[in-house]
Amino acid sequence: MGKHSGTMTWLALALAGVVLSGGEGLETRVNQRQGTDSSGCAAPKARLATLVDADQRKSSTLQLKDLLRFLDSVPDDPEDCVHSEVRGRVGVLERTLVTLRVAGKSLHPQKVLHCDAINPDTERCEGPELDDTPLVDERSLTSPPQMLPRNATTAKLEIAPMYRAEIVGVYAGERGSLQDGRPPVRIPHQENILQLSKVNSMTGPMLIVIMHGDDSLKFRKFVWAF
Amino acid sequence: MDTRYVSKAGRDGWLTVRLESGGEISLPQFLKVGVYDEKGGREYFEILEGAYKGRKASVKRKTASESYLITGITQLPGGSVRFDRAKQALWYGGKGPYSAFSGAFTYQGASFTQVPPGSYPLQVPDAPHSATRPAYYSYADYHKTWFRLGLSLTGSRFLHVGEISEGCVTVRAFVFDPAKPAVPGFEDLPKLPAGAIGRPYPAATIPLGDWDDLYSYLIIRRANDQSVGTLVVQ
Repeated sequence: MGKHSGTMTWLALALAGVVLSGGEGLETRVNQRQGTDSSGCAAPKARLATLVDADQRKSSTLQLKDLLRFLDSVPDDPEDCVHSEVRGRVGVLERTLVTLRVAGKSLHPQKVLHCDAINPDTERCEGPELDDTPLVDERSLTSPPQMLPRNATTAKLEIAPMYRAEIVGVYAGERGSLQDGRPPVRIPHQENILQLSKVNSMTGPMLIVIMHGDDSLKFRKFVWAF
Repeated sequence: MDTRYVSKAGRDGWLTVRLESGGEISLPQFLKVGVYDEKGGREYFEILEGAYKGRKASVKRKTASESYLITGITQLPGGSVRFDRAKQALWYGGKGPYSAFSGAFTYQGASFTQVPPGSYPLQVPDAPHSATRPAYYSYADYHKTWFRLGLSLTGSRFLHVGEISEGCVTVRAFVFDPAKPAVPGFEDLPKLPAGAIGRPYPAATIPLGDWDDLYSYLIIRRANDQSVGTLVVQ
């Protein structure tokens, strides 16, 4: 086989300048659908590269703001020259801005999906990205496991002050049962304090927090696998 | 309405369009749509099959003389795929066997189980997978197209190309050999649980397939307006 090289993609990743830390199994989820290199793609790609380069020293929230503004400046992207790349970069940043605080530990979400709408019956994310909630990103399988501390009854969802999104719902399910199509159950929460009793009784639980942002990406699905 | 089909837009075969209700979705190659209006350099259409059937959307024209929504496509009858878990072999459309497997392993105490034997409709893909690693482009342009098993939109077992399987039917891009130097972009494979990469391998060596060929076989086929064909798992 060996048809094409992924060099450009890795170069783009390196240019992202997004440094993740925390050692909680964070992996970049930046991804590109690699639009064609037609002249239509060249201009937005160059603008994005310039933005990313200029943003390297900015805080996560300012980078996020710039990326969302950039996304809005390219409302039409049929060949996906830049949209999925921007969403990937936004997701990487969001995983540092929304964390779960349990028994003194900060747990970063394994993935963030961006959705135009959430199906009210299944909590499925509808939009430009495949909802693969129960699957663990393959590059996360070798990361140190995240464990919910035993006997923790509550968890606090910590949201960076400048991150403007509100919680729409909190859900959980056993990974295997979610994979076979059963919907997750609702987890009680008061504002950003989540009750963990249902989660503690599950084998291989996944915690799902759905948030709505006041930007064009609309809904987010943050997923923790324990 | 003027019946058209989604053309290959980006390298991965997906076309990004705007829903009339707001927001953005991606449509797979050869999806049937009905164009009902054209104004301001945009084409307005109804989606006629797949997960977004009945929804209205629009896309700008590719150029003044070219559209992303094309005519002259004839969809073919539903495809037929067969997978043997024990032999790690897959057949489609009279071709095969090709190397494929379904992973089973434990991760953080949770079990990933092999896809159960049975007959599954293969869904018209509803969105590109956003987390496959870029190195797969070395093996398949269409690696972001995953065909969901069954007609529910909530199940998460898929037919896809890959080296790691979390209980899906996974068509190998290459055969990992721990005795050889790591494949660029896949340096983590030796650290993974054996079951996630389909080891131990079966005694009989099965040749590698070409995901882009399997994609091309399935993407133009329809068993009905939600399915491209059937997968039988043995």
